[in-house]
Amino acid sequence: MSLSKKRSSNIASSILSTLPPIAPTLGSAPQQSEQPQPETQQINEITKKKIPQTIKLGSRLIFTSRRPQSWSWKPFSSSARKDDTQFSHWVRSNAEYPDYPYARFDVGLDKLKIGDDDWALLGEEWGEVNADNKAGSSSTVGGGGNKANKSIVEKLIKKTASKIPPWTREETETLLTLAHQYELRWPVIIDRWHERFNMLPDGSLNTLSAVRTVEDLQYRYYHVGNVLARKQLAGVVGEINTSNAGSSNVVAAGSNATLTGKGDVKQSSQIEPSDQQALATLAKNLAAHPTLVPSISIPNTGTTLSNKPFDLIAEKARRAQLHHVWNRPKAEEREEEELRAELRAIELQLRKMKKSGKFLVPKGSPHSVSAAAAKGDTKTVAERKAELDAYVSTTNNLTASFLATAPVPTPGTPYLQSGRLFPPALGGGLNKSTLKQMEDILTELKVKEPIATKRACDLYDQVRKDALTLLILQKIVLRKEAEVMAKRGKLVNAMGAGNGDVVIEEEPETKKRKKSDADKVAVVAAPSQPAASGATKKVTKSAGNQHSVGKKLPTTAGQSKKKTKKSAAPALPLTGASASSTIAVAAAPTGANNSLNVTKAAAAAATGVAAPALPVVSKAPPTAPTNSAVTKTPKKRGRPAKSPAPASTSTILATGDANETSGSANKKAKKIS
Amino acid sequence: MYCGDETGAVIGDIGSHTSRFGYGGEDCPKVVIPSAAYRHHPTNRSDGKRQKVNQSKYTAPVSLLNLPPDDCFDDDMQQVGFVPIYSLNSNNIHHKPIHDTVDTEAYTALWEYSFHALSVRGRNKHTVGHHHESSSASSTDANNNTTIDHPILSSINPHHGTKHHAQLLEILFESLSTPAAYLCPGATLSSFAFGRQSALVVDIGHSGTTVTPVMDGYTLKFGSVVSDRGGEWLGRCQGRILSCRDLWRDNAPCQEIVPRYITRACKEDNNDQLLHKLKLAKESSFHQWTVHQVMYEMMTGSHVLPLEERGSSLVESLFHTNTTIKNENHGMMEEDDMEEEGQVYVLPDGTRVDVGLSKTGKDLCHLPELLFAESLPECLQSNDTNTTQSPSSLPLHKLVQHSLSQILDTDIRKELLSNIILTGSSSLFPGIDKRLSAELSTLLPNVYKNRVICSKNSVENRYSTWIGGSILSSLGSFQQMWLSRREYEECGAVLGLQKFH
Repeated sequence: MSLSKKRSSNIASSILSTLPPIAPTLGSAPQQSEQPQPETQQINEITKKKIPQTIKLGSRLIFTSRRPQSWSWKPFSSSARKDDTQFSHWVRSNAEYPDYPYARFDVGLDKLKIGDDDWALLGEEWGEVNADNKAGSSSTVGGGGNKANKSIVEKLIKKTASKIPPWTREETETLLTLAHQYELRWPVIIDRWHERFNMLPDGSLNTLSAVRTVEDLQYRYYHVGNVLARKQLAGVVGEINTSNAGSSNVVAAGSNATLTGKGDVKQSSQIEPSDQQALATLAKNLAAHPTLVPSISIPNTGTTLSNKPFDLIAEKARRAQLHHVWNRPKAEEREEEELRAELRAIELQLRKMKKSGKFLVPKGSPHSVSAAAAKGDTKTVAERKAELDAYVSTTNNLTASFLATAPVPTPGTPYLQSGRLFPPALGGGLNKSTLKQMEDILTELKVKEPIATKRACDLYDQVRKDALTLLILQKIVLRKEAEVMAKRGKLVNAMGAGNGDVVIEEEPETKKRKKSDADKVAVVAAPSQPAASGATKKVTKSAGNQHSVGKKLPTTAGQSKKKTKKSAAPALPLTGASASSTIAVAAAPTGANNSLNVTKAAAAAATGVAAPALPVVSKAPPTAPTNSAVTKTPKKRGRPAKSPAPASTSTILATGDANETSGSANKKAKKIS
Repeated sequence: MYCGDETGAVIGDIGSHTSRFGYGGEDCPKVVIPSAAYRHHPTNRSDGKRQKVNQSKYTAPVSLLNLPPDDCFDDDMQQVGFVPIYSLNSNNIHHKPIHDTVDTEAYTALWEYSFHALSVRGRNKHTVGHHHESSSASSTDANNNTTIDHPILSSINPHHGTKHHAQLLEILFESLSTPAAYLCPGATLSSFAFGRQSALVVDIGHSGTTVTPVMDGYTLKFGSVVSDRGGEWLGRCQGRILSCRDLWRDNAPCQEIVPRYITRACKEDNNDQLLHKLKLAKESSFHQWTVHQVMYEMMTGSHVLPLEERGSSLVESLFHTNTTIKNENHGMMEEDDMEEEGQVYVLPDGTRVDVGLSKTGKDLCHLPELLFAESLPECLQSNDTNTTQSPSSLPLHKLVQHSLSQILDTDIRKELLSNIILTGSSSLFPGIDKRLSAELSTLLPNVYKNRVICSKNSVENRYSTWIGGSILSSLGSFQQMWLSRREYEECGAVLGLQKFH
């Protein structure tokens, strides 16, 4: 009987399922199967049915009927060990490994080896410094510095190197050994370095070597690697230069010969033939383009031959900074922390001010210049602020009136969201007619009363608020516009028959056009006055028609026609006064066509008024475009008859044109009404 | 990648108080015994001739509950045959390298005991299974000749010095006849147990606290610092608080701690021989150990409060009380005697200590605070006149700072600080990790963020060194690192040690 059966008869299946997946349990190695006792066989018969065919352990299926795989305690030796000491471990009985499977993790760095003539090379490289530092000493003593790279950095290093003792051969060899042993783990290397050179823990030095720091060691190591790599390269290059022609094989062999000739048996034997070839090609490149010094390295030592040497100065500075940060007293740190907190607070305030449109302008800064330029514009900062305030106060008022009717959320008292659907309270710039207009807007936008969820109510409130803001601001704009027009009219009147330069100065953009314009106006100004006033009433009506018909007018886009008429209406008498003063005057000699002319002029004026409403919709500063829009809008429309300037210059032509337009306008107006 | 390979290495971690042994690859040590051995003096033979002293026998483990066996008392030498592996010189443990040598035979006895308990001796242990042998004494003798085929990994303390390590290596190869051995610094093993290659290991052990930077598995010498504030020191402090202040509930005749072995011995009939033994024992280090045992029990009692995260001011207020106030409290305390029954700690000899009501009693509840105390109260200051701020008297967080300041490569401070491993049996006080973290963040520059790693599992904390050894020895790639017997015989112990650096 197999072992598994015997075991399963003894151990409950629940225990079996808790066994680890691999079970070379200590002390329970496979024993030879014995003849089962008759009673155990009986028990087996009984329990057999309960034992499942397979048991799942983790992701593995174990067949209860199958004999378990046997493991054995076998000796092994690893190729990673230098001696062939044998250890034992558990393996599958049938498994055979050619080598210990974990031996391949035995990786390490190669040691940088310096031959005797390399020392001479190193000595030669640092000869200059040696001459300065220590005359007559052996060539093994080196300082810092490099003939090849005479950058400023190198000079600086020389400077610092003159302060610390030059590297001895023993030191360098110790360094290379340590770097090899600890595989360039510099924290460990510097630790062992000081352990060896006996720096006492209290900081006092026992030997001169102990003054060296991590960066000194790093610099030295990479420098030695660099020098050695360059030497290798130089050997190959020299060979190529001597034997210019020849196949790469010859080159490789030749370079080998040169290196050997130089006495560097070790180095040349170290280099693989493939490396030699690579070096040869690199050297060719070097000969062709001296600037393209390739980055090659002595393999597996962590060093490279590159034009960029280890930046000792920067490294020293970096470490000094780290040291400083570590040793900084707590008080200083706290002070800095406080300063930072203060700075943060100030920045926050500045940002807040910026948001609310205020500026802190320091004296003589570029900002003050621009502020002055802004002042040179039509408005002062204070005025802008006042206007902005109008907007802000409007929204504030709106919010307040919305809040007045909406239920106030208090803890413990539930309320219905539908309570928020009530219209806002009157007052604070809101009256019944505004509300009515708002509702008109909503119906036109097909916004019905929503189902009262929080989100829907929020959005609904938002829409209502936006509509009300729009209406209120429109009102404000119209009022302002009227003011402007009235002032302009007054100005024209005050000038009388004088020059129009005052007007022109006010609006530099239209300077040219207005000049000729105003001249003409001035000629006929006086006799036309009554006609203009008489025409005003007609203007009112036809302007309204013009509005309802002219789909191009921006205000009509999203509003009901009725509302547009209403909003335009109060403005017209005033605008008409100013507009007619320019246009109706010009129209006076034409007599019969007077009313038509005025209609057109009024239409032009109306568009001029209506145009500012567009920026309001898009929530731009409401007052900014008013000045230019008056003159710009007619130009955009591209109809010569509607522009006031051509109307005065070529009256007859314009009249005919206007006649047609206004006629159709009247017809349409009739249809609608 | 798992990369494990079970090679049946024996892991030993012999600490200053407890030793742990077990097979590599297991998750906790199977043998945990006190780090001490009995020295049995040779008994009088029938011919009346004494054996030489150096032939005396050593046994482990040591029972701290009973008096040492009879043959441990040497009447001629007037001493008890009780040999701690690492003798603790109470006042200045770490000032002198007194750990240069160990009692070789006592050390061997510990290992031999573990070999016996784990059935290391004898071939094919894994296939034959565990065969219990009845007498430990006979087994040591009988098995001395048989070799073992399990390599041994032992933890070492880098502060003990090369001489000591060479001696250990000799013991492993000569006395224990191991085929291969490896010595690894305990800090390295602890960091491996927590799954880290680089860490700052803060080990609060029995003899003191060691802070050791570990970089890629290499312990750094510069930065390894030791303070004597450990479990043993805390126990002494507690003992002094108990003895110099009248906390005793009952008017005990002798105000000193009575260890278990005395009470047990006194239950039997008193005769002169016993009194003589007790007198001898009381002067020996055995008494100190048993007293510490009692102190440890008290330290881990339920009355000891967890460390608070911000307790710096608390330390100053504690342990600095006037005698007058204390006496007043004492009077009040007696009245509430019966009500506050839960606030009484009962020592093993039946003495009841008030730990709830009086100021001093509350101090006892805050005992672990002493690890962080900047200055010690007068009654706890040690007698030596060494007033200079040597690292051995630094509080825990200052010790960490001191260690980091000593590190030669400034780059690694940040990494080490984010991997502070708190281990050792005395780090089991609840809340100690948070406290250390809080203290460090107030002490160190703000750019250095610290993270203290401390296992919630008390087994992992106590045996982290052993567990690390278990992990290390069961790695497949570690098997090339062993110092084999052949290498040892070729180059000797001192050169062989270089393989471990």
